[in-house]
Amino acid sequence: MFRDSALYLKMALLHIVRHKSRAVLISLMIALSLVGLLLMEGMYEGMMAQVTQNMIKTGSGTLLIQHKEFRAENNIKFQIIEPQKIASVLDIQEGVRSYVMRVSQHGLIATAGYSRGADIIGIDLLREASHAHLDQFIIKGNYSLGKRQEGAIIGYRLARKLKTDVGKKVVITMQDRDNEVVSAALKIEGIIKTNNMAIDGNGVLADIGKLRALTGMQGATEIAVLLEDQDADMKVKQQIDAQLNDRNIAVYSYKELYPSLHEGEVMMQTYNYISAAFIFTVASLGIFGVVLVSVLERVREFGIMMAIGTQFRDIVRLIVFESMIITMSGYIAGALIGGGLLWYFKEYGLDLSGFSDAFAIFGMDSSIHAILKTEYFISAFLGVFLSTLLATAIPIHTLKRRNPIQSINEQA
Amino acid sequence: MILLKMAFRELLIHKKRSVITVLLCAFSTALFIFVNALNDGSHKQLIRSSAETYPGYMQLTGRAFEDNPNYDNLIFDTPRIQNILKDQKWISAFSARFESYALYATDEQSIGGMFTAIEPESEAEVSRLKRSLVSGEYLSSKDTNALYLGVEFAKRLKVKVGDALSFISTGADYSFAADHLIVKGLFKTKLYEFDNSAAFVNKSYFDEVMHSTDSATHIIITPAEISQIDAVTQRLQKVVGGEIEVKNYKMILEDLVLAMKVDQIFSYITLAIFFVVIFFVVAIFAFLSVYARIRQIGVLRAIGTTPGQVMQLLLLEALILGIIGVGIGGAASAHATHYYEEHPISFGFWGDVEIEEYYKQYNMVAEVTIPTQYNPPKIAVEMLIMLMLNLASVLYPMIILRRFTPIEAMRHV
Amino acid sequence: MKFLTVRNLKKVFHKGSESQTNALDGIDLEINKEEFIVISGPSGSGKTTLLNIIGGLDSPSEGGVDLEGTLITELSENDLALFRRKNIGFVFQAYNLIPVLTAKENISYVMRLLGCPKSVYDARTLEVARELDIDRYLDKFPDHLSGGQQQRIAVARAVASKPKLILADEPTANLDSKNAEKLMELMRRLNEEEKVTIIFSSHDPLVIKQARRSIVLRDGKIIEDVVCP
Repeated sequence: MFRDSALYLKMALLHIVRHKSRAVLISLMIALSLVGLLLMEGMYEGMMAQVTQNMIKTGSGTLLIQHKEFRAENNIKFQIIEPQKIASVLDIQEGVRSYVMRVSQHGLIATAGYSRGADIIGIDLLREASHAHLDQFIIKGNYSLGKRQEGAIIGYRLARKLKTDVGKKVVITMQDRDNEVVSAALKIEGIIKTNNMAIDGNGVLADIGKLRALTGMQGATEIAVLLEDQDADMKVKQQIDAQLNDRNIAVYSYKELYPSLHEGEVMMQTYNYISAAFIFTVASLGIFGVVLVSVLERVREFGIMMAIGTQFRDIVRLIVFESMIITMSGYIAGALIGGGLLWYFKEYGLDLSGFSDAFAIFGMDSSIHAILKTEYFISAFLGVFLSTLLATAIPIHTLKRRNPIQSINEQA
Repeated sequence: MILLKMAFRELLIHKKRSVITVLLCAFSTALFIFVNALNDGSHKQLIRSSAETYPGYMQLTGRAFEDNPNYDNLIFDTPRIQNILKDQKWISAFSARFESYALYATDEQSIGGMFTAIEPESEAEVSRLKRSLVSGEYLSSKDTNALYLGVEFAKRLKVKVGDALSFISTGADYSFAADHLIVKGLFKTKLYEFDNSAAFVNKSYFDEVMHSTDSATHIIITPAEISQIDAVTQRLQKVVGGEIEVKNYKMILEDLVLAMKVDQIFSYITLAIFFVVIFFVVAIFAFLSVYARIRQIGVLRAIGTTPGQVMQLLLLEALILGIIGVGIGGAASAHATHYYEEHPISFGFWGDVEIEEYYKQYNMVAEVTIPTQYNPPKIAVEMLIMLMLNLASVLYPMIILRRFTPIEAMRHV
Repeated sequence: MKFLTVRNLKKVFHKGSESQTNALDGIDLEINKEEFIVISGPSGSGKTTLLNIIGGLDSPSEGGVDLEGTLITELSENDLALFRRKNIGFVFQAYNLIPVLTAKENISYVMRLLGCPKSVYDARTLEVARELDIDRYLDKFPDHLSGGQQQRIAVARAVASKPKLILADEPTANLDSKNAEKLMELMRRLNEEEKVTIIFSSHDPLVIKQARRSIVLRDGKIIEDVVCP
């Protein structure tokens, strides 16, 4: 059996070498479309992941802990009164990488001539730096809230809309614990660009102690938790829930917070599947053409083989072997080049800074880092494999109908 | 002529191959044209609904207002400018606004937000503010103390139609301005942020309490022909003089315009990958067809056909297939884009994702029905591109043929 | 000046390799107008190569071919195609008709390339077809014709445009003896009536004896050149 296979393999190879051009065209077609497909999958998925990462990292964290009414009411009345209790749970919880407490409140920011709605967020500067490296996102000024905590860091889009800059004063206005309007004047110390849409567009970061004093609250409105493993979100969430055992506290996974992110992924995946299906269908037409010609021009040769005792089964094997060698070499080339490019873009990113403003609208960085998954290659392999089988089916059927043995006499 | 005849006969003999090539070509042409038309249509629509929701297609502001949006940089002679605008036939509508900020107070809450004056009748022609009404009534030019409020903002203030609230603000002369207001109507656009912070009053009432007669922060303009917007912008700038700045949506909605460019690039990337495969399949078929008659081509060469004429023959074949394929694909997609321009395609859901909700998170207005843009000259250009691509597919076979001398070709099996 | 002069023609295949062969090894030949010549010899003696070089289908390794003052071995590929079109008619062993053209179109093809008006090439096609007794098949495609019929059409194609020289490489090899004899008779008649110079190759003694001059090749050299009675 094995020796036979080696023989057919050799015959298949010889025939391919004799008709190099066709083989090259088919391989090239598969390789190029595979490179495109892999890049499309990896880059698009990389972009989606980046949006999620940006929102998780500097925003909600993988898990977000809040008073259960806060999300709906957005009122600091519904604060976490004893955040320390939760902190002590998080400190020993397995899988938690870090967490930060914040006081956040929807309010207003005003300059001398302009005002806008804003998310006023009280943060602990040092903790945020070690939590999500917030300090690395400063694009102007310093990562500082002033010597006497009288400073603010604001999102770059917000700064642009307010036409304000580092060193200028802004007035923040918000409600306190008793729904009274309170204001404070802050000096802008830094401008931040996180590519987290919420922070860049609306974020005013101030000292958590300052905001507590201003609003008369002691606790926190949210605790953002980053996990070691993002996919362990539901498991850790349940564990924390069980540990806290507090009916007033809700723990959300980022998937619950941003359902649209997941929807975005579903859209992208569907899009990729449809594209892949289309590409492989068209490619199999090309393969079909070549296999058909290469079968038909050898009807007599196959007839002779059968006349001297080769079974039709073996001829089928020869044809499939031959087609597979051609398409699989295309697959290997495509997978290598596409995989290599994806690896490169994964490591070094694809720099599209010319469009950075546009990407920022979607919550993306201007440098896109690709994602590289084994399943891309597996599904592409299946795609190539199936289209090859599909493409050889009709030619084999045609060959059978032509009755190769009889054809020896016809053409001789 | 004899070459043309030969090309036709060759294609007829290999019907299946010709049909597949024509179908592929028709399909890719149709896909190309349709995707582009849909892109253009959705972009046009996105711009339209974004611009019309509130910002407008064009706006006039005081020269320094953008850098320094304060009361010193207003348009102070609104009537004069409105008089100029009235006489311009390339403008279909205009309306003045005064944007300002106020603190609103109810019995339980006090929240800051936009406090904007509009001219109710003409505003309805430059934005969709009137059409966005969800309860109560829209403003009228006789209204006093009537507030037209965003639904999300109303929720925060915990007020509904008919409820009273008061505002405190700074008048145009920097004096203190305050009065009570009755909620006359609520509106809901597709922009959450806008619905959450905007509130409008009748401008004549506003001018009285805010001491802003004849002043405006913006004059919003709708040009008669949106496609001519750049030209209109230039002409308008000349007419209104240097003290006033004219801007159009390309500058106002700069982010959106950029985002659409990115969107277009992504769709081109996907199309490019499709075309690579289709191009190869067509090229493979062309190659096989040439390969099968290398011998015949050798004979043609031997009896005096020049290499150029052989090339002509192959190009003619590709041209015939291309013209038929591109023709069918172009006609079908032209018909489809024309049809779907009148009857927009519903994209309410993509899989089980609701599109409108999806875009809302980016503060972008997405319509669930998207029309295609039927643009015959563009379709013609796209058809031409596809035809060229089709012709390019015989390049490789030609290169292969070049390697053969007539006798080598005749000996070929 | 002679009609056709072949001077010191040499053709080496696979030069420098182990399988190097001297297909033609210094051929000198002079041919007059209206001659009817057969080139014979065992297979591999260089018949086909000689005809191909004379017809401008192949180029020699050394030496030259001159047809009425045109040194055809010096022409570019494109000029060669034009030269062949105008001056040479080919008849091949395997007929080599163009399958997508009818018999009539095959015959008129070269004339159409030469830019003859339709009335001219139609009349000439009919004339030649009658002469060769194939006027019944004019509207048929090659697939529907027998070998003998196809070869007569091939001859008609070669002769229709009134070339100066007809080259026929083993034209009878695929025909039975009856058809072969008919074809030779026909070619001889064309030679006499149309005053066209014909060179053909063959190794069939029955065919060879129809010629008026016989050249025998062996190993790329002329070993015999006689005028038949």
